[in-house]
Amino acid sequence: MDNLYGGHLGKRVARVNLMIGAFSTVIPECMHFNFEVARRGTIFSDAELVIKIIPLEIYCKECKKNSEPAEPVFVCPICDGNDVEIIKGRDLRVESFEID
Amino acid sequence: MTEISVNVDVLEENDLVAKTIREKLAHRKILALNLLSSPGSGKTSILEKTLERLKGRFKCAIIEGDVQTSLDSERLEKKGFPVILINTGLGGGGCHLEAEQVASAVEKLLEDHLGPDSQLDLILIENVGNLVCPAEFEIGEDCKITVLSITEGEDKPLKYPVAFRLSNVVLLNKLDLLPHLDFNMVLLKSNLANVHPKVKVINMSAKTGEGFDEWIDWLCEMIEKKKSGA
Repeated sequence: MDNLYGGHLGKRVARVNLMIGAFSTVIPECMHFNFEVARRGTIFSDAELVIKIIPLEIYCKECKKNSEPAEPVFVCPICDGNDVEIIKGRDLRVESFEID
Repeated sequence: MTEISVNVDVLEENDLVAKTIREKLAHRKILALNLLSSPGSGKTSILEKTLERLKGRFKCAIIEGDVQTSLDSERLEKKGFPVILINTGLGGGGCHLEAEQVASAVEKLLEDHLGPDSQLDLILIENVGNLVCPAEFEIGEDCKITVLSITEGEDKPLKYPVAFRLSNVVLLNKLDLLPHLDFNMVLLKSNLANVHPKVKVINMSAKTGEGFDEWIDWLCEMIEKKKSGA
């Protein structure tokens, strides 16, 4: 574990960088609230939670182009094709910690 | 400030357990379906009728998720198949099933209810009534099935897109009530087409049995596919 965190294990974390996909069922405001509670008494107790929203990105198998729909509508805005797959936007990842 | 790359999926642990369930069931060629819906859509009634239709054809089991009570599991037990109940209320009122809970239920099913040589063809997992969180947690299923009753309105696919997007089949229930409602079927199909153009929709009524031939045919085809190792 200490090797994984490059010798920083045990230090207090100043910032947690979290990625939340726009097409997930996680609500950022709730994540902030829950983090406030969950971090108490841990090395994260003073950490700031920074949430980055990853927009929904789809790939159309018909015109072979990517697009970022503003709404969860899974029809290609370029060619009207309906054979699309989700490329990004379902994320829920801890990207990194920052230590002073 | 020093940045340490973590790059960990928050649901990684859940997904690892889900993968283990999937592998275990694949090894035994057991199809697992995860039924999602709002409370009161008719999931349990659909399951009762499904079990009646499959009796004698395939060996089934139910994993029943509810916050409280054994009301649904008691109904389903009457159909003569094993039922494992998970009350999420005991663990703090969980609004969805998670892989760890389902893994224990699958273990119990395979060890207590079946011998090593007994065959089980299908596990139907009735998730907690909720169209939001259950869509987010993998529980080792082959497919998600979302049940929507026409009394809930045409806008639900737009309001709960994740559940509908991740499902292979939408069971549109309570069709027997259509004459009594101002339900716009064209609008519902259009909303579904926006969220999941290729989803299979089966119009049905657990009360009258309408649509059950198509549902059972699909189920049997999926079970046979699983048994053949696909």
